Amino acid sequence: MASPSSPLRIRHARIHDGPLRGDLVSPAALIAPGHGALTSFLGVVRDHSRGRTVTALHYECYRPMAQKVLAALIDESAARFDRDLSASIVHGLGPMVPGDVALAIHVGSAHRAAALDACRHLIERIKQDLPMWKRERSADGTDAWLAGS
Amino acid sequence: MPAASVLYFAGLRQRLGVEAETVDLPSRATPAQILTTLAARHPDAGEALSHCRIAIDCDFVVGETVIREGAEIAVIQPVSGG
Repeated sequence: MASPSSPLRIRHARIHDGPLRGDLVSPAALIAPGHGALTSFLGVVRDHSRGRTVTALHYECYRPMAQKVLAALIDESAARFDRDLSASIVHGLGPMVPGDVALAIHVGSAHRAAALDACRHLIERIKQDLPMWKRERSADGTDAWLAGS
Repeated sequence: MPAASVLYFAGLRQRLGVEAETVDLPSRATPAQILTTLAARHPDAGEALSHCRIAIDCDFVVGETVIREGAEIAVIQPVSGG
């Protein structure tokens, strides 16, 4: 049977000041009859890294490019996995503490394979290309910018 | 030679002690040529710059590209988002 002529297709990408809370961490906005599968990835600030106890993180980005990259990655995922997929990506910025949600990716698609594959693709591509950097403060007093993590 | 605005971020910005600077660049250049020009201005950061990518007006560039007057050139060190 053919797809409905006007599938829900939400494409949303942005940088948010501060950690993500409430609606930003929920995939509810993508729930729709045409989306048989919804997947989510949440990036949470971890309390340990490289053998140290992490007390705080600070995210910095090149904002206009970060917005553009996130939108382009959604388009790239749609072209690769499902041209009708819906996707929402929000990345937090600024100071955060362990347990804060720093990144939320939600993908809606008709079928699970595309939803799972696109979500995985998006987080891996964000790790490669999003102009975003984090500085990590540890309990032992060290404070360092991380690269390529 | 067009004058471009060069932006630095995070650890590289901290290391160089500069957030943005105006740099005269050739009208056509590859990312490697741009990074070599910047390394000449900041010799102590040559190694760090060699690991960076270049974005012009918010797009990564590979290969030779035209640099217009007033272009915004971002030096993108290895990223750590997510």
